[in-house]
Amino acid sequence: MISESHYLVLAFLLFAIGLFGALTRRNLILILLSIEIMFNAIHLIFVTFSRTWNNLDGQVAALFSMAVAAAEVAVGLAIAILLFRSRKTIDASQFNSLKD
Amino acid sequence: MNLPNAVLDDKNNIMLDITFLLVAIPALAALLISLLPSHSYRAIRAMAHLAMALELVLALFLIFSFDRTLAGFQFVTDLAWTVKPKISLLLGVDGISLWMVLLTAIVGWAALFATGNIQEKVKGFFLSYMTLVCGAMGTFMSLDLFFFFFFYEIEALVTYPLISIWGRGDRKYAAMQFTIFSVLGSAFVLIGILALYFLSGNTSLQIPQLLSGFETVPLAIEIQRRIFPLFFVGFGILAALWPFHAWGPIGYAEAPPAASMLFSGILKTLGAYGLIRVGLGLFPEAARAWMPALLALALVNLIYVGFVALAQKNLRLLIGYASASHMGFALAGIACADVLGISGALLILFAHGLLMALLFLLVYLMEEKGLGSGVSDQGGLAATWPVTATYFSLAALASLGIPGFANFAGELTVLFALFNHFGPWAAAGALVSVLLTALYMLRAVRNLFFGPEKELRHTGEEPVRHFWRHAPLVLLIGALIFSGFFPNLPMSYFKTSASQNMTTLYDR
Amino acid sequence: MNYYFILLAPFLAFVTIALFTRRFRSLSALMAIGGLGISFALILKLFLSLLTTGALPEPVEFSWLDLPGIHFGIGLLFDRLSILMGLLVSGVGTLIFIFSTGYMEDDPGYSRFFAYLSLFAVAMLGIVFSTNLIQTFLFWELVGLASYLLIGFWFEKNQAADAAKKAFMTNRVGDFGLMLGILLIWFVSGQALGSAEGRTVEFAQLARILPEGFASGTISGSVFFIAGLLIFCGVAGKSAQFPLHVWLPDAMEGPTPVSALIHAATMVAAGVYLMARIFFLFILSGELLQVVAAMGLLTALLGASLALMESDIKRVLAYSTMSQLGLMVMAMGLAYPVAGMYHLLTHGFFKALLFLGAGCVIHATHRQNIFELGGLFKRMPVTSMAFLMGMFALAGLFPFSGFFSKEEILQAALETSRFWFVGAEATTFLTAFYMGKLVWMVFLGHEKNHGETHEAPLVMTLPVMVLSFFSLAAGYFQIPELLGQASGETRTAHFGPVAFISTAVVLVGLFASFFLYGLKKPAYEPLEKRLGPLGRLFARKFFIDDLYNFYVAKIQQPFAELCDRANELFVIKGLGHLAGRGLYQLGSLMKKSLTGNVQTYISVVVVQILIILAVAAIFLQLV
Repeated sequence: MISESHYLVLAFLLFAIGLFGALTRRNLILILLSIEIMFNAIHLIFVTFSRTWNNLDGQVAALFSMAVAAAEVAVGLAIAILLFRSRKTIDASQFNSLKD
Repeated sequence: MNLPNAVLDDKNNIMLDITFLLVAIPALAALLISLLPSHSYRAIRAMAHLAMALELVLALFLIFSFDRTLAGFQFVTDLAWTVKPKISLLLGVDGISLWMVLLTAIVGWAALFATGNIQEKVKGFFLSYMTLVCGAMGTFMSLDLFFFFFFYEIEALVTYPLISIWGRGDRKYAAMQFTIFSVLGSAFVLIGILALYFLSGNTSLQIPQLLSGFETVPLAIEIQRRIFPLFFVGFGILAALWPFHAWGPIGYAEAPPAASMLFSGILKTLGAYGLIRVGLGLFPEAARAWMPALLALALVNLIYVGFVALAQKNLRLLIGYASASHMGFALAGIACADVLGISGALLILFAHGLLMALLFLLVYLMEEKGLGSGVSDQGGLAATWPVTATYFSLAALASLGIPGFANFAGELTVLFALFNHFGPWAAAGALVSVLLTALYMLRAVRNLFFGPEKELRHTGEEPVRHFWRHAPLVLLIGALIFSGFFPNLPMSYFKTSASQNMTTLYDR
Repeated sequence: MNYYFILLAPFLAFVTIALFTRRFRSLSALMAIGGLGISFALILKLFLSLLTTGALPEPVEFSWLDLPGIHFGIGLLFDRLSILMGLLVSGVGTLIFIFSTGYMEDDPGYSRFFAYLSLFAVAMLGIVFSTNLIQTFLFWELVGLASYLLIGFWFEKNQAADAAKKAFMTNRVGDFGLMLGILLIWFVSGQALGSAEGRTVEFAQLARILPEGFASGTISGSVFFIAGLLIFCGVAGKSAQFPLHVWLPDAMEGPTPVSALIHAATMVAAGVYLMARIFFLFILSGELLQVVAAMGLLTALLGASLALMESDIKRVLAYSTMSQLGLMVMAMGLAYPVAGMYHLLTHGFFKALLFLGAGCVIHATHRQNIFELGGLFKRMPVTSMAFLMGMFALAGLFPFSGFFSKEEILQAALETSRFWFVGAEATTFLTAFYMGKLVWMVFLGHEKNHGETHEAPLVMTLPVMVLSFFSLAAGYFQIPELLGQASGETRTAHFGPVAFISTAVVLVGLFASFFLYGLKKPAYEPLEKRLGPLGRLFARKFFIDDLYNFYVAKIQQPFAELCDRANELFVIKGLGHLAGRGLYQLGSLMKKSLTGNVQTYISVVVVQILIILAVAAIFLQLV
């Protein structure tokens, strides 16, 4: 009925949505949000395969990843706040000082 | 083939010989110059002069102590570097490379006398200069293909700063295209070397090993046919073979005169030398198939580029294209692929290098005193500059192939080789270039020196006055005249080594 | 006795003068005269031993270039031909050197002049005593060099510089053919012996190999024709034969001693000498001889006609030389080289004499145009007498030497066919006519006031007198017999119908010119009007010079420009800009991708990853 492939398709869609958002959105917070979505997609894949192969390793990996994601969000938000303080904006397209 | 000095002597000790010194001295000089403070111009120049003088002495010593009766490489230096693939700093000279080494030493020393106009970033200039000489020496003496490429790259590297920093006119463009073509040629050579390594299954890239290996197990002709064209194109680009004949002249036009001397005297020769040593030496069968193509291109060099030279109004470009045209003679000699042709080509290469250095040195001396860049800018300079006019006329006569200079003997030999190998039309084509050379060189001499004085610019006093101004000129002219009067001397060196190099060609 | 000094003495003189004695004029002159004098002494010694015992030293040679297949040496070959020619060159040369000390005394380049003269002497003697074709070619080039340097001696003058360049280039064109001819001969010399190793350029060996090859059929006859024709190109260049004659009149820009030595007696004779040397080749092809004879006659007539309209003394003499060389060449073509060489030797004497005499005139009056000269007989009696003797010799009047040598040629012409004979006689008539004109205009009549014209100094008149002696006496030295013994022919001049006809022709010519020019000196050239359009043709030298100029300006230079434009377009703009500017532009293009925006960078990375994955998938055949 609902087989593993459904989960994978869902995860893929989530990943694609997250990727698209990360690359396209201009608001830093929304970029972080999109990255979170990508993370969630990956977690879903891990758990799916853990269930497919009756192996707990996937779920363990997902737990690890969630912790890392949380830390990453914390750092990312901190950076966003600092950027806002110095540049008065969180529009990603404004941050191009790497340009030649 | 027997090596008089084994590559590694019995006790597996490292072998060091004069050839190592010839490479080490400029490298050391470069190092010392880089350590000197930037403003101590005198010390820097003195260091350079000392290094080059030592090189000259060593090169002459090599000439005198070389044993002409032995085929094979002498004065071998071997410093092992890696085991698999077996790469070591293997340097040695035989009859073919010895005179190129001498040429490098002579021109390297003489070009120092054209550096008077370098006033800023002097340290960098002489650093580049020493590196260039080191690279050239290394390339001529390298018997390990890896280091052959390595030394060549070193010297191609410094061509860019030499032209773009201390040059004049549109120097960025000239430097870029000069370096690009130098490196392009070497890129083809690199691919060829890699192909040789991987396709032939040898574990070493050392010429003596390869040659003796090929004697027992010759390289399959299909493999040869795939590899040789790479070397042919690569070295052809370096040797100013049509259609790659223009990058040289354009570079010489904007480069500082000392660099022009070095480039036209030494760099061009590298291409032809590589063709002989690597192309013909290692891939005789494939080479034989390509020689008619080489001849055709060489004839285009001789005739077409000769006409281009005829149309030049800029003196430096004229000399540059004349140089490219003359290379055609050497390349035609190589195309004959026998001892006669190769010996003639080698003598021409030697003479050509000296001649170009001489011409550019004179151009430098004259430009210092106000000569314009056009061929017809000045007139009647023989009246105010008699000594310089004499030297320039001598140089022009040498380029004409007047007997008494080495160029005549070389060209004569190549003509006979051409007629023997390719028939009368090839020889006739080469002779046409002799006519063309006479036309544009005599015209240049006539416009610059003869006739009533034409003052379009203010010209100063005689450029060649003090003794030290004479010294490099006398050396260059003297070498040309000496080898012109006694061509058997250099030929005796070429003969043995060329026939050994070509034995593989003869036997099969 | 080291006979190498024949070459070494003048060479050492050259080196010494060039390097050391530039400032010491008299020393330079002494070195030059001494150098050539030593050569002359050595050759004379050889000549005397030839006369007395008939013995000659073996050829000597030192190996100059030795490679598989080519063994070239430089050496000395002693036979009658080389010794007689050597006597001419060194003897007349020494006299002219002495003459030059007087002629060039006011010139600042005095020492340089003698250096160049010595260089020429070495080169010429190198040709004379050459043992092989390559040595001949080598010194042939050097002679061309010396000629270039000497014609352009007064390099501040535009005409001199241009004339020198023209002479050298014309010679070079001839040498093109010469070199190809030598290559061909070298190549086929191996065929006769059946091996490539046997190839040679030595005269002695070729004289044996080539006829053998012809007789046995191993070398085809056409080869000899082509080789000979190519060699004749070189001859034409050196000896000013049509169509490579254009440099000779312009060469008169050089100092008169140069004209006397090089462009009358010796260098231009080198072509004829070479033909004599290599006659064993020429005689193997009948067609070749015909061509040679035709070219010779054509040149002879052309030169004589061009001399008619000239009013510059030296140019008249130059055209005259061209014409006489044509006769010599014709004699070669008529298969009688002895006659050609005989005339070469006598011509050497009287032509040098005429030029030196002209030199005396020019030195005294500073003028060269015959319409500006006159009545010099009273002022310069010695010169006038000598010049007159030279003129008679050139015209071929008995008992001067020219009579005998020309007679030989005319004899040979008559024996071949009447065509040649008539042509040669026509030349004789013209020669007598224009030479007469020259003498009457310059030496007779009223003086055109030249201030204090006086006879030349002794150092100049003495050589002139010596030469006039030889112009008279050379006919009695039995030269043809001397030469002929080498080729096995003997002929004696006899007072037959030829002698009468030619004498008559000469006298008619002299009287005709006297009538036009001697009785009452015209102010301008009467022939130009009388001959109408034909005269103009002559005056413009048959437009040959114009043809050459047209070629250079309208054909050669534009072609060079074309090559240059093509070069610009394809090679420079194509390849060069590709390398130079192309890379810069590629770089600029690449720069556009550096937006500074991190998201852009990551997008690129994502795309790359996708591509890699796709490729890997296909590669691993997962998709």
